[in-house]
Amino acid sequence: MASIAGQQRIPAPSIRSAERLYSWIATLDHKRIGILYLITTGVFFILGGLEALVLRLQLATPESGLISPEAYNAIFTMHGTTMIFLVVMPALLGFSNYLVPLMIGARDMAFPRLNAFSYWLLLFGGLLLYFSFLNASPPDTGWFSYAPLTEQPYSMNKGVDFWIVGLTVTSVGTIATGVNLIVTILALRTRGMGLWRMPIFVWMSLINALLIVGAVPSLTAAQIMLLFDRNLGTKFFDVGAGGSPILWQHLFWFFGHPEVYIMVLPAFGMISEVVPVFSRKPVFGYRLLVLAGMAIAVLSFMVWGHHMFAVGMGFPADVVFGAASMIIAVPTGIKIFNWLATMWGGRLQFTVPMLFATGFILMFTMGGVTGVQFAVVAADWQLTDSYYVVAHFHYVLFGGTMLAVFAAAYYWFPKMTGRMLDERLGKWHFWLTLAGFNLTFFPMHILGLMGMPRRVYTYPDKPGWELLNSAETVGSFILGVSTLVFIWNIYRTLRAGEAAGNDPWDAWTLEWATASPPPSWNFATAPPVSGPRPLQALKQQGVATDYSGAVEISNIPDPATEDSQVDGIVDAIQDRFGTAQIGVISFISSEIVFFAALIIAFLAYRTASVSGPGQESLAVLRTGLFSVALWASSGTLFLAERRLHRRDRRGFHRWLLLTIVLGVVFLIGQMLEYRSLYREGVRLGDNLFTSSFFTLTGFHGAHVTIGLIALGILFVLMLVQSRFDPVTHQGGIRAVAIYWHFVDLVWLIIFVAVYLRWLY
Amino acid sequence: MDQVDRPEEELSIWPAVMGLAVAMIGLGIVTNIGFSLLGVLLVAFGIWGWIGELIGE
Repeated sequence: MASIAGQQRIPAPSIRSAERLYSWIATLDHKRIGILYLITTGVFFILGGLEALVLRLQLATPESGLISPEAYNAIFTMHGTTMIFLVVMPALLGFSNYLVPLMIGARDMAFPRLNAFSYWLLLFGGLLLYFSFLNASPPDTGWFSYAPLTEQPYSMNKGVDFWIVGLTVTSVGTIATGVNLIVTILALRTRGMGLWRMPIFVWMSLINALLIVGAVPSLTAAQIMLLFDRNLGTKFFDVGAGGSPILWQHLFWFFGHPEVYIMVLPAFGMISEVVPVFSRKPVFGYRLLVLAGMAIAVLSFMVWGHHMFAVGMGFPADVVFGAASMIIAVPTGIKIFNWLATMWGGRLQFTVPMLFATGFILMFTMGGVTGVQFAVVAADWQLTDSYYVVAHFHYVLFGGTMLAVFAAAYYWFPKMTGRMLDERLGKWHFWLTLAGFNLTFFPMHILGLMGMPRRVYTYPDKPGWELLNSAETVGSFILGVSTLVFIWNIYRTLRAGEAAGNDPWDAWTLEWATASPPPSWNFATAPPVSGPRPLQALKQQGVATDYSGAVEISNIPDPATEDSQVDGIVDAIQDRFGTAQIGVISFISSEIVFFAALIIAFLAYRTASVSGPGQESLAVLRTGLFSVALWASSGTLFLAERRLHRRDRRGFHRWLLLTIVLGVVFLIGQMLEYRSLYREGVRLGDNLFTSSFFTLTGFHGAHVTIGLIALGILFVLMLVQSRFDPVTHQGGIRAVAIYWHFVDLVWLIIFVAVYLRWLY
Repeated sequence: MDQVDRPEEELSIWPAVMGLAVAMIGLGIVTNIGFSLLGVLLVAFGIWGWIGELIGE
């Protein structure tokens, strides 16, 4: 494809000056933030890859003593954690960050500051995790950190704490990115960009964001329980106190299986963009591809139990989870057939992005086929904890997602930098990757069937095991070489690569309708959209295709609007709520999952304590009275908003103050409750009841406090800032109000669950 | 974006400050509570700067 691009050599950008460095640190531009994501995940990919090479060196020969068992445990834990949380997931979010606003014709993400904040949480969370090495206590309990191995008596160093805190920090950023993507896609599409005209990558980013918001808080809740167990003496997963390690598994995998699709759906989106362009055909079954993505998202919340067949959940649970896990293969299969049908009869151009996309389809299919086998309970019992599992998920995550990431990197690199990556080096990269990958991971299927367990630092000298393991180690080093080729290609291209032009692949989506790299404003003129391939339509009409600068108005066709029922619903939501409100509602969705996890833990544990205090210790009447203050505060805030609507600044101020007072009264009531329990000798770590009670009500109290801070800031701003006009900032105020009402509603549920024990 | 318009790129240091602050709170939980206290101060500073910028817009 190099012939498509121009031959002009352009100088490399300099990042030497402090000003330029500051502009990267303080950037709010979604494209720069996307590039920061990709650079950061690239560095973590190298770290995770080096860890993998050490593991493979250790396993190259039987009974090897290259590294100690402790070091092996730490390295495989860091490898898995790094690749999942610091490479695959954020790399995909990096592409979404860069591409989604461009693809929908927007200037930026809905909340640029929040977007930058999310990136910094990823970076600092990752550094926090790696700081554990400097502290000589890296986590060593595996990426899913099962309790009770992670509990204090069994993991005494700080490694698990670093794992919890580092990932919690990155998770907050991930949820914020999810919220940002949802609002951006729903609210910032340019004229004519109906939902059914969005590129499939945008659709998959939207579905991915919804999955993030729905799944990640379950992990956060579980991690907080574990952190409290380890540091504050709670009993959530303490078997001796009646706690259940299985609760950890449920909460973890309720996150963990949607997480698999969080790591795969954007990759599906990437392939759905690359394959049609290089087949010179529209994607086959556009709506079916989108609907299949939606089906996968819904089903992904119903299959977590297949990770727990070995627990012994019982026949009904095994049947339900097994069946759901088989069903999810159907929409996944639909996607694969759609890509093949897109290629069928097309004028295929095997450029490097297309090679990687084709490799993705083949490798991911293999990973999918072995995945369905785990839906069969009997097969799962045989294969679980063997190398067969390692082979399966590497075929999905490396053979699948990482190949898609490489396809995307080659495809969109010209847009990001204005230069073409070298095709010859790219082909070396592809073939070395494919060969190295299969040599590393295919023999793991055989070893797994032969009975080699995963997560062991060495193995006995059984017939055939050394040969296969040695081959895997050779394969892993070929993968290492392929990565070096990729890095060299990037370095060489950035120094003196061929200029790409705006649209080097003769593509169809809006990111190609602006300069390469795009200016900070993306589009100076709104590009018209009259179908799912807007740029192709413009080319066919012979009108302007570069919207980075001024365009003659006469040269811009009117975008034909499309009003599907779905668009009507989204328009109605936009009319009813602004971007800030849609953002806070999306955020509240994640809060619902977080509180649901804590409430479920309370309900499971309220009567499970071996000894010690229970619900009878609680002061129902007093707490009920203080609760009335909180619920009344929703009413006063509603009245405040009505005053604002009437532009009655004083009235708004008065009702806002009363809301704050009522919120403070509620918190005083909570403190009185805690004080009286303390005086009776009740402590957080007494038993399961106290653990779950204090954690649940404490976190609710923390949310009330955050709400009060937000309300307090509004109040103070109106007092001291003459230029703060509450009417101008009505959207933000409404968002704070929605959050406050949510906090009040959650307390209603908590009050019924915790205090009204005679009801159930 | 109905008219031709090329806004200047906006910069803000506060998201980076807030990210650092949250990570310091986390570091303090695992190592020394002093880091967490510093992180809380940084959060307050970050919120002040962040909101100040938003109001100025």
